[in-house]
Amino acid sequence: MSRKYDLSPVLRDVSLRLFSGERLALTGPSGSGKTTLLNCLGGIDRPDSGSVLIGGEDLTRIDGEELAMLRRRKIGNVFQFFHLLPTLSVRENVEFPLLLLGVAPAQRRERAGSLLERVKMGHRAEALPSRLSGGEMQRCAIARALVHSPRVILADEPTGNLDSVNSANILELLQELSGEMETALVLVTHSEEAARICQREVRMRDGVLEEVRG
Amino acid sequence: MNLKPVEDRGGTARVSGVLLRQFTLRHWRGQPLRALLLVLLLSLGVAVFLSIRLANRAAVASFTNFASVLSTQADATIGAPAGLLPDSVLETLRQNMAVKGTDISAGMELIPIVEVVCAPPRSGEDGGIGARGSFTLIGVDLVALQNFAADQKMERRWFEEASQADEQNGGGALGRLLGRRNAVYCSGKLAAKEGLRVGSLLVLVVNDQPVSLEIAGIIPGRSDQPESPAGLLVMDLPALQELSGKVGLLDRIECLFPKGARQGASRDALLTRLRAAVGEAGSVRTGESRLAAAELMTRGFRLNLTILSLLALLVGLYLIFQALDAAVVRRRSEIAVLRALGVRGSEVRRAWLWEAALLGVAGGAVGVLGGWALAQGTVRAVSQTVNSLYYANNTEAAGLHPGEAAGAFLLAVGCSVLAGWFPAKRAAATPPAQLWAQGAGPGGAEADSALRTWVGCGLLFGAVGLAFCSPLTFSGGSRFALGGYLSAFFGVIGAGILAGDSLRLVAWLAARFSRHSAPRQLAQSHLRVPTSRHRWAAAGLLCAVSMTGGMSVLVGSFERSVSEWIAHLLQADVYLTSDSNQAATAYNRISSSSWRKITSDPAVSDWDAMLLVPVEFGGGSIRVAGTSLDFYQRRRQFSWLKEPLSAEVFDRKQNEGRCVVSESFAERFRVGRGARIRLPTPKGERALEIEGIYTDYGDDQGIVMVERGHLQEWFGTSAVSSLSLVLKAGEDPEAVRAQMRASHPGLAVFTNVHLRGEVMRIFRQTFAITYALEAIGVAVALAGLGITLASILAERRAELTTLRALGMSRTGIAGVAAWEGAILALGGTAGGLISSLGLGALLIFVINKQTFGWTLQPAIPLRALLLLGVVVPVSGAAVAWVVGRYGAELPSDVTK
Repeated sequence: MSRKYDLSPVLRDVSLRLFSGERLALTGPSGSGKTTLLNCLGGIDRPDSGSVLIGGEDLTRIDGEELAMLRRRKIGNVFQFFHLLPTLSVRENVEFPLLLLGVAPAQRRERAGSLLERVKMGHRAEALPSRLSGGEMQRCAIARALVHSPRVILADEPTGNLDSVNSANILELLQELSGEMETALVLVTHSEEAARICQREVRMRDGVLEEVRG
Repeated sequence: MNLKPVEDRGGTARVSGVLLRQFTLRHWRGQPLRALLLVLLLSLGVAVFLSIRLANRAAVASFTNFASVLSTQADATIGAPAGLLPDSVLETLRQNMAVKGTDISAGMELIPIVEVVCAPPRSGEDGGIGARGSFTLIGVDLVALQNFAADQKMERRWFEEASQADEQNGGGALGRLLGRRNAVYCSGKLAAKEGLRVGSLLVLVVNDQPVSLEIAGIIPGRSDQPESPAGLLVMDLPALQELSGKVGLLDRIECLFPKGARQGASRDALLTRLRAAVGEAGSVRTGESRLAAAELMTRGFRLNLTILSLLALLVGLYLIFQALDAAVVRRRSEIAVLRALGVRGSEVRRAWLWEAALLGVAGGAVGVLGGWALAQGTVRAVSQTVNSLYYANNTEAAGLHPGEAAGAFLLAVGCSVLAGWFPAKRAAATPPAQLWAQGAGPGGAEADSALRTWVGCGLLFGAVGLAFCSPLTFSGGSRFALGGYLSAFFGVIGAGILAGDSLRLVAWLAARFSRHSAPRQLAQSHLRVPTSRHRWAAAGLLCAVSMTGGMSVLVGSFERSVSEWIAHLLQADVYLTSDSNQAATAYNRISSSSWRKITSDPAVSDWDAMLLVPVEFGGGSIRVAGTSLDFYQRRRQFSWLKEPLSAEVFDRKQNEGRCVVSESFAERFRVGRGARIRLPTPKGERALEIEGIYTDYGDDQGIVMVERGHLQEWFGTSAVSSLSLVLKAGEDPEAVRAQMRASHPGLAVFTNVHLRGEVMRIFRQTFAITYALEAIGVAVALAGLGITLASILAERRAELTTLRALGMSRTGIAGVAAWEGAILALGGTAGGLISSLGLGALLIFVINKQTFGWTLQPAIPLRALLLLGVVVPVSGAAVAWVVGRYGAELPSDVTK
C-alpha cells in the first residue's frame, strides 16, 4: 500500500504479511511513517492505493461504520498513554469490548476475571483507573485489548510511558498472552528490548519498509 | 490461556444504552451539582412557559364557566347581535321549537339569563380601578330550572341542597330566593373569603346605585363541574331584571339539548332549526364558539405572553447546547478511546441524543411541577390584565391541565434533543484515539467559523425578509404576526451565532487596558480566539439582553404613545362612571336622571356623556361609543391618524350616517376612510360611512364612534356610561370630586390628574408580568455564563497548576475568571443591545401593528438600556469571580 499527505509520500509501496500468533516489531525514526502504517492496519486511516486484509476482510472496501464493527471484533489496541475509560472500574474496562459485542453478563465476567488474574490485576478489579499506577493501567489495557480474542493487537509504544521494571513486565505479558491466544501482534517501538520479544522486526525509513530480522 | 472467539451480538440501540448507562449517567453522578443546575435551569424555562399557558387557560375558562355552574354546559347560546334580547324571543322560540311526537327537540331546555358585572362600593379612599375585583350576578329563571332538574340528577341535587339549606335557615324550599328582590346565592369560595353566611348582607354597586343583597344560600359544589368562581352570585331572573334596569330584556338564552341530540347530525339539525326559529332577532352560538370568542378576543395578548415566556426556555436551550458541546470537548479523549474500541459514530451520536433527551425529561418533569406552582402566582397578574382589557374575571387559581402539562414536557424533551443535535454530531465525528492523539480532535475553535458566519448572516437576512410578510388572518378579523415572530426568532438566533465575533473585538479593546495586569492580560488572551463555549455563553446573553432590550424599546414607545394619547384625550376636569365598572365587560350605566342632575351642577361649564355598547361585527365583538362628536372635536380629544375631510361628522344634524373609527377597528377589519359599514342595532342595521380614523390605546378589539343621541335612540336608552365635566374657571376639581362622591355614592369620580395616574398605573400593571419574564431570562443567561466558566476552568487545570506554581493567589485566579466573565458578558450585552434596537423596531412596526393594530411613536428608553448594559456585565463579572474562586480550589492536574 501507499499513502500520501499533502502530496508527500508517507508510505511507499509497503507490503507486509502477518500470521496468527506472530509478533512483529515495527521500528524506525520519528516521522518515518510507523504510526501511519499502524493506523492503516487498524482501519483508522486508508491507504491511497493497495489493500489491507484482516482474516480475508479488506479494510479498504468497507465504510466507516463497518470499520468500527471490524475494530470491535478483530482488533485490540494498546496505547502509550493507556487510555482507560476513567468512569469505569478495571473490571468494567476489561469487560467493555465484550459488552459492545453483546456477550452475556456471566460470560463477560468470567472472561474478564480470568484475564485480570492472568495480568495479576484481579485484586484491583473494582478500582477506578485514577487509583492505578502506570504499570497497573497498562496491564489492565492489555487485558482489555485481548478480552475479545482479536485477530491482531496493535500496540503503539506500549512501554513508552513506563519505567524499566514495569516495561519489562508489560513486554513479558504481551509476549506470553499473544502466544497463548495465537493473536498477531504489531508492536511499534523505539526500544530494542521491546523489539526483542518479537520474532520479526521491520524498520520503517522514509516510508519504505525494510526487513531487519526474522 | 485460551479464550474462545466471541460472537458479535451487538446492536446500535443496545450499545447506545450501554454508553448512556456506563458513561453519561456516571459523569452526571460525578458532577451532580452541574447536572442539577442544568436540569433546574431547563425546568425554570419550562415552568415559566407552562405557568403562562395555565394562567391564560384559567383566565379564558373563567369566561365561560359562570353559567355552567348552574346547569350542564350549554349546547348553544342565543344572544342579540347588539343590545339585549326582548323577553318575547323566548316565547317565540318555545312556540317554534314546540315538541311534536318524536321530534329531536323533545326535552330541549331554554334557560333565559341576565348577567350583570358589578363591584363592591369603595371604602374610604379606594385603591385604583380594578383593585376591588368584580362580581358577576347571574339571573336565572329558578322555577324553570327546578322543573328541568326533575330529569337531571346533578341539578336536582343542587335544588335539594338549596332547599335543605333554606329549611335549616327557617325558609321554605327556595323561598328565600324566589320572588325576593335582593336575595342571592353565592359561591362557597366567596362565602369563605368574606365570612358570609345565610342571612348576611353583601353590598354591591349596580349601575349607579349601591344595593344590599341578602345571602340566601351557598351554591353547592358539583363533582362533575369546576368549582363555582369566587365572584359568582345567582339571583332569580325577574329580581335581577328589575335591579339592573333590564325589565323585559335578557342578555342571552342558554339552550340545553336533549341527551340524544348533543352530538353529530341531530345536534346540527337542532342548531339549524334553532337559527331558523330565532331569525334576525338573535344570533346562535355553540358552546365551543362562545369559548372560541373568548379565546379570539384575548389571542394577541395571550400569544405575546406565551412567546415572551419562551425567552427563558430559549436561553435554557443555549445552555443545554453549550453544556453538551462542552461535554463533547471534555470527554473527547474518552470518545476517542470508545471509537478505537470499535464503537460506531452513530452509536456515539445516539448516546449523546439520549443524554439530551434525559436532560429534557428531568427538566420537563421538574418544570411541569414548577409551572403549576408558578401559575398560582402568574394567574392573578394575567387575570388582572384580562379583567382590565377584555372581560371580567376573578381567576385566582390555575389547574394543572394534562394537555398543557404534556405539551410543556414534550417541548422540554424536544427542545433539549434539538439543542443536543449539533454536539451529538460533533461527538460522533470524534476520531479514534490513534488520530486524536495526533491533534485531529473534533473541530478546533475556528474549524467551522466560516460556516457559522454564513449561517448567522443567512438567518439575519431571513429575519429582514420575514419582517415584511403579511400577518395570518383568522375569522373575526383577529390577526397573527407569524412573519414578525419568525423574524424575531431568526434575528435573535442569527445575532447569537455571530455573537462570538464581538468577543474578539471586546477582547482586543480590553487588551488596551490590560498590559500591566496579569489577570486581565491572561483573561483577554483566552478570548482572543474564543472557544465554542465562549461563543455560546455570549450567544445566550445576547439572546436574553436583546429580547429584554427589545421589550424595553416596545414598552418605552408604548408609554410615550399612551402619554401623548391621554394628554389629548383627557381634556376635561372631572370624569364620572359607575363605581362598578371595574372590568372591561362591566357595562353599568349612569341613569338619565343622575347624569342630567350632575351636568346641571353650577360648577360645570361644559360636559360630554358617552354611551358604550358591545355589538357583534364581522364575526367578532367590538364596541360602539356614542358621544358628542362636537365636544370631542372642540376639546381636541381626538388623536387623528386620518382626520375627517369635512366637518359634517361633528354636526349632530348631519352626522347620523357617519362615524369615526379607532385604528384597531380599521386594522382589524381592513377598512379605511370613506368605507361604509353596516352596524347591527336593536332597531335594525345602520349604514355608516367612516369619516376618520383615530388612535385609541385603550382597546384592541375596535371602536366605532357615533353621535350619542343617535346611539341612544338606536339602543332605546337614555342612560350613559361615563361623563366628562369641564368646570368653570376658579372651581377646584378636588372639591367638586369630593362633593360628587358624597352625593353619588354609586359613582366613581376622578379628577383629570387622578385619572391620568390611573391610566398609567394600569398600563404599567399590564407590563409587570413581562418585566418578571425578562428578569428570569437574564438570570438564566447569567447562570449559563457561570456554568460555562466553571467547565472551562475545570478543563484548564494544567494552566491553573502553572499559575499556582508561578505564585498567583486565589484572588488572582478568581480575578482572571472575573475578567473573562466580564469580557464575555460585555460582548454578549453589547451585541444584545445593538440587536435590541432592531428587535424593538420589529416589535413596534410589525408585531404590535399586526396584532393590536396600534401605531406607536418609537422611543428609545436610554436609561433602561444603560441599566441593562451595566447590570449584566457587572453581574457576569460577579458570577465569574465566584466561579473563579471555586476554580482556584480545584486539585492540580496530574496527567496519567
